[in-house]
Amino acid sequence: MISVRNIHQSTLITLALGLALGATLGREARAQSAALAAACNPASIPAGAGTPADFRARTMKLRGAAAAGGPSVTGDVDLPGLVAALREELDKSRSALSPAESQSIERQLGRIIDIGARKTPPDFDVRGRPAKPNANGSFVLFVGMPDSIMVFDGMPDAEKRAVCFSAIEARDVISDYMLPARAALASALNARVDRWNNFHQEGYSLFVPELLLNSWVNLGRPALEPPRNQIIFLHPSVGVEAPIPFKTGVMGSDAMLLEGLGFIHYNDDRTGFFGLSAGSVFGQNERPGVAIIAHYGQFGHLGYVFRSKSSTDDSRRNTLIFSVDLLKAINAVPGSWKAESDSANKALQGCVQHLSCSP
Amino acid sequence: MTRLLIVVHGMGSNPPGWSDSIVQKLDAVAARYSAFSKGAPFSKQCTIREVRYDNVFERYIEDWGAKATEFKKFQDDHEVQLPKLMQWLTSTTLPPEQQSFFWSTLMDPVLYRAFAVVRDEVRAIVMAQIVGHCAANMRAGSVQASILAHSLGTAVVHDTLQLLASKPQLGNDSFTAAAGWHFESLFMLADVCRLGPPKLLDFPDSGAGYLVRPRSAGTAGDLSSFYCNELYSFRHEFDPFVRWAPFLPANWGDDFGNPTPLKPICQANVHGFDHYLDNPVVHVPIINDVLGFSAISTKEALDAIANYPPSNPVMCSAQVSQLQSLVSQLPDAGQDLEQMAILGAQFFTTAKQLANDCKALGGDLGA
Repeated sequence: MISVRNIHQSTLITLALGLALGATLGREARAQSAALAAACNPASIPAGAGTPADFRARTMKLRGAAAAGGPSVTGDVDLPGLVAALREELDKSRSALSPAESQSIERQLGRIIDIGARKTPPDFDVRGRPAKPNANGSFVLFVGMPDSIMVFDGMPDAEKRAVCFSAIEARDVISDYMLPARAALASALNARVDRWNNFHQEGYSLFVPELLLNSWVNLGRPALEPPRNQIIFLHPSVGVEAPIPFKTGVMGSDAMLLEGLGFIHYNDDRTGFFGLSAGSVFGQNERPGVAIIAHYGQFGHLGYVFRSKSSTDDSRRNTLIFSVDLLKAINAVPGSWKAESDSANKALQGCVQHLSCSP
Repeated sequence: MTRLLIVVHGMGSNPPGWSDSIVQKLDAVAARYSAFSKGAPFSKQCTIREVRYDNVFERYIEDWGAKATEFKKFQDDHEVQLPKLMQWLTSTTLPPEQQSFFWSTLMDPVLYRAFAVVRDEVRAIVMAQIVGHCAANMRAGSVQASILAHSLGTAVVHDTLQLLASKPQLGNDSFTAAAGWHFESLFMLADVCRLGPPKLLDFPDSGAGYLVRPRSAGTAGDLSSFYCNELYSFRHEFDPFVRWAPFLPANWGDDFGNPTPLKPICQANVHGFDHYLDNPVVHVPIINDVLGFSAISTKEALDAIANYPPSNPVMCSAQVSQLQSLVSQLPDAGQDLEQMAILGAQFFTTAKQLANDCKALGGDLGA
């Protein structure tokens, strides 16, 4: 059966028929669909020579490393070679096709080579409509095109296979040609997700008002990327406030820091940042102070707090405020220095004793 | 060729492996039909992969939740006037269960729509996972990929695909419509891709360059003019979220499946993923399209639809009527995200109560 026709017309007719006879199409239609599926549904095509799976196996050398399960290498797919192989395959079954079908497929195969020049590839979807009343009994190639091909159950099997196998093989070739670029995109997108993870794990947390503000004010953030520049706005945190000058180590008391406004800049992979902010400090038994705070990534922040003179006390009590993490780091320095010093002394003493005991 | 089904969750808590229950549900509904009652289950006849973005919301919510007391103290100490939304959260008049539900579930769409930083991270993560699943399965030949999304996931998928389809990502255009990539089917369950203030919907379906549409809405034979062969948008008559913003594009043609709103109520949570999947109007096209042929015959499908639901929960008819009445009387949330969240919390709380009432009567309206 010659079956090149305008698809819109046939769709309307079959739709009307299907809607009218939907309840009676039933199992017979399903049986027809199964027979067609053996030619046009890749999952139902039996294995053997001349199938799309066989063609794929025979042309694997042309398909590049990624298609063979290896690494993605851009440009290692032999597209002209694959198109030539597709034509050879079509030639083998050309006698089963009508001239119109043959020309239609040939025309679209000729367009595959253009994807090397970044043009939109031809459409080789083999379309069925399984869930609608008119679903069974037909598959369509080149949907909506003037030279679309409808594959009916009544077509000779060789013709069905020639049409559908050509389309399935062509689609597979296009997929393999695009695979290195698509695998590369998957890697690049994962790297972007890593930047987001770094932003959360290594960055400065965002409270609701900051999230709103940083959403409204773009600050040059590319689409879907984590912020490169971040505004600090009404950011509360708990720190340790220490009077200066230091006397014996860093002794301090808890204080609440409310950063009013500030700015942070991240590195490329969002693993580190630095910035500056201004805010207020609310210490225990102290008047509120005004602070200038410097931020440096995971080291935390360090601020200088200015307090006005009280009416009863003429002294100005300026202080430093640390993030808890930074304070730990600072306090750890003398301890580690002492430990290293002790260790060195012991080693030296051991050495001296050893020397003095030697003959 | 690999037949790939990517499932995308909606709002609420969705830990890794969340899709196991959805896969089980798909297998269970497929087993109602002759092709699956004896043969391999549906999930063994295709490749199913999940997308998870709930961790984005979790990170913020957990961080803020841990500091909630400090936040309240901060508010009290400094008399900062908070937005209406935060006043509602810190109000003692709200039952604790609703507060918890708000934070774990209803805050998700608010964060997604209102905060561009959160929205972009969600899109970046979902895009990476969708592309990753497709690319990973392409090594064995071409892939016919479909996406099954629910609730907030419909909005996330819609927006993400528009970005992926319309322009190169990180300088790579291999997944754009112009490069010929397109999905087989998009199944949008409880489709809320239009829910939210219009100002915050950045991809209107009437806009230039809009591509998340089915083949019949594009230009015939031009792969660069659409991004899926078929698109289904399912909604339930008594799902409040969908009622507020039904997705009704004009003139999308035969490849747009937009059945009349579903009516049967088999679960008090009519918005639930598995409640939608249970209905044959929804699961038949999913199963048939993913497998690429009529695994479920036309006759079986029509019979299943005619006889659904299989058993009428007569003993809980009062609860069902109450639920229908509640949803019918819910005010239109309009464009107000806060109002949607608050009304949504009321709906879920009432639905849960009605399910418990039904259970006490020996019936079953879900958990």
